Amino acid sequence: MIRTPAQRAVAAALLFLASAVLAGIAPAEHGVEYHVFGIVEGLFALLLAYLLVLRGAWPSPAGVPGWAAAAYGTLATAQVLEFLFPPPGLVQWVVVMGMAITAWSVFSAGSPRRLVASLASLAVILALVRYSVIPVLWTHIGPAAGTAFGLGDLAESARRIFADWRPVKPAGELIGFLAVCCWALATRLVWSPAARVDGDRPTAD
Amino acid sequence: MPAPAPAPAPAPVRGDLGGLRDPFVIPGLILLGVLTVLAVLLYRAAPQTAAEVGSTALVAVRPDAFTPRVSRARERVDAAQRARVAGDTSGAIARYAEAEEEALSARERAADTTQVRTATELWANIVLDRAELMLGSGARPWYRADDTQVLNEALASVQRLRQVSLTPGTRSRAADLDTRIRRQLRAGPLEWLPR
Repeated sequence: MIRTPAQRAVAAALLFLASAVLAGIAPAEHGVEYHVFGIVEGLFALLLAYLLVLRGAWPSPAGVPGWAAAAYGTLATAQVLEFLFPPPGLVQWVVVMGMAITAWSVFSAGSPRRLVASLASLAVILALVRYSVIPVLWTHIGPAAGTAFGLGDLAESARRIFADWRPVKPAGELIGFLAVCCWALATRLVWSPAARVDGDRPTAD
Repeated sequence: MPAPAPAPAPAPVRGDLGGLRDPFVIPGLILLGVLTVLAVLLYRAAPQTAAEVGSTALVAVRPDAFTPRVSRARERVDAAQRARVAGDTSGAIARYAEAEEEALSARERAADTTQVRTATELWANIVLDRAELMLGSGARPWYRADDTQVLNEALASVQRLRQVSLTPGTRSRAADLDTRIRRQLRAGPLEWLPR
């Protein structure tokens, strides 16, 4: 049914929109939170969108459908980064600075396939930090707030400096996973395997 | 007889902005626009349950209507009470603030005096519920300093009710709360003494 590049671009834009909406919904302990990306995620999404177009993983935008796909793709990337980046604090500063410094050398080399594989690895590492490392450390470092004659409040302050983390329900991680799936599906829709860029080398076979 | 000239290659279609004449593309872009607006409304209203999505949509469709805003304010009050029961004081205060905003908005859009009275009474009770919660969260034992910022904010909320006409029951509740907040703002054990 979806045959032409324009149709693929529109379908990808719809999937990117679904990804952006889903990535910001976080069922918390009491109610639902709606997260919108900040300046850090937005700037990083712009950089990644530029690299994805440059390396041919996303087609160069042409016409209204192409630009719509690129714009919604950037929005979805920012929202997915909001879901994956560690919460504000020392951990986020270290992770984002490390990524920003190494981004060009890591992501700009190689073929579109390598770029997407690098992004997938990055997503796994970010998810590990945010949804495994931080919660485990949070529950095991020091007494809880309001306990131990004030020591818990001190421990809470220290924890907040490292990461201003708020627990989410397991459903939140599932919704985020669906958002990442939508992003990957949309990228697959606009993917043009025939495109070859500087980093691509023909294989022997 | 000369051979017929080969048919010329079709000229590129001018004005076709990257496949706009493609079937499904224009409907797809319209759908994209509609879904984008719905997504913005969803994030703006931030409904907490699936049931709230309906009333949010009603307010979005009829932004000037009185009844949907009153219903929405009552839903926010329910959400605040649920948060309060669950022990989430800051969440409950935030939900009450949203309910206050909706009730005030309904009051501004009231068409007659009955609606004004209903919305005012609803708004006043929400303000008092929120102030009561703030008093609970800002008050500390006598040997520890109170959170005066929260208490002053609660006092300012209660004092705003002086500007509107209320039923005797609500007015007396407001006066009682005003006294309790003022007493709590006094230093140390002085808070136990009557003024």
